[in-house]
Amino acid sequence: MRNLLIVFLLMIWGVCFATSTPLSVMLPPGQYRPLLKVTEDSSKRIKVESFKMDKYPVTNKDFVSFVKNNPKWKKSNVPSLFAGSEYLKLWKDDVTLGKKAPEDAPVVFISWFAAKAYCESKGKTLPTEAQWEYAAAASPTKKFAAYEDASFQKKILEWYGNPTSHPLGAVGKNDANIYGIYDLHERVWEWVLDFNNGLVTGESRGDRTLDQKMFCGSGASGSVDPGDYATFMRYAFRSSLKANYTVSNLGFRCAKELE
Amino acid sequence: MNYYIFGFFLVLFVTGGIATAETHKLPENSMYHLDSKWKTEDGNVISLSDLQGDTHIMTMVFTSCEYACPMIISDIHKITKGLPKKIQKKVRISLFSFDPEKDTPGVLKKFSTKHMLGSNWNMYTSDESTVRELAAVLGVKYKKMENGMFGHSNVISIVDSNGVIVHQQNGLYADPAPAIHKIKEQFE
Repeated sequence: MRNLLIVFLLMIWGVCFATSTPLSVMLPPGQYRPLLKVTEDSSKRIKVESFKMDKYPVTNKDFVSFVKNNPKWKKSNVPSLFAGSEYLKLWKDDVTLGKKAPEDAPVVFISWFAAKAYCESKGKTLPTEAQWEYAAAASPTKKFAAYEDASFQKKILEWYGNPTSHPLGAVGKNDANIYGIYDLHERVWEWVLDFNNGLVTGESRGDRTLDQKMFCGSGASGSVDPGDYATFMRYAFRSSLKANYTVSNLGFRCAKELE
Repeated sequence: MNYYIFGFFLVLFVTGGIATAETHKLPENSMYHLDSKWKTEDGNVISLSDLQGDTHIMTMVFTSCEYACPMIISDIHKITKGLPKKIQKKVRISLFSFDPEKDTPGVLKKFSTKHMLGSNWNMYTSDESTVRELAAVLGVKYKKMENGMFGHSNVISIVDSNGVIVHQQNGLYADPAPAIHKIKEQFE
């Protein structure tokens, strides 16, 4: 009887632990196709080491508990250097979510500083752009669907075409990609650690052609891989961000380098 | 309506609480809110907030850079040369390195000696995460290239004694006049 009780308590603990800790998956090492040199040398790849990534974007519930433990990140405390005035705008107050911010929906109106601090509090980091793009290139069935599967590309672009409406739905409702990661697309856009790396290649000649590609739609559609317009959009969006910006459809998830 | 009035007083109360809790009363947009540790060219550890009290010209560089960094330093000289002698002595110039790996305090010291940077110049190095945060605050975009160099935007920031960026000069060879004007204002 006593043993049963212990087992029962352990089960409860297990359930609580599982639901309160965002699960992560290990991604195998591989190659990521960067946007920047696509037309210069379309065979160019960047090596991505094996790393861990959270299965789900960070939810409102996750972020409330972070804010409670780190009052510095409450709406009423955070200086404008770290988060704009719309920080956690959908929340009712400092620690109450309210109707527009369901517990299991991704947290949005979040700044890069706040996202970074959250991940660091968990012993993790924000994923780098290379890590994020590498993971997000995968469909439920293919690792590199973003480079080769027109229907996958089309689906993402269609999502980009639709305005975000609040309240957002819960995370983990769509199919996971081949690595077991949910919601990299068709949910919210996500911060990456090096969002501020855009528009520079270290060479002025390269920068000029890049600018044309970034800001001229016809340039992108005339490029080697017109289907990758979605990637152009993500790069352009990131390069428009500042670290204290808070946006209605921009959330984040965490990653971790292997030790 | 009452709700708004209550909210107003709540805001007053809360911000008042913060202001009294903090000894320095930094403005909300002060970069000195960053918890950011750096090593100087002499190997001393400082907090970014230790820089408060002085007007700074800040930029980011890496010393193995052969092209843009010498240019950006000459752009800073153009600004300081346009200042009255009195102010020239008071304004501080802070160069932060992109390169945690190669730019050790010793390397920074050599660079500073080679370029004959005066006593009001300082160079700082830190870890990757701290560098990324400062770049975010200064609005500098950068990327480490495969050859170990850093591609980066050239931004010179004029930072007031409270850590608020009051002016930014973008790109190389820019007209230094607006930056000079802004610095002079700090000493009026």
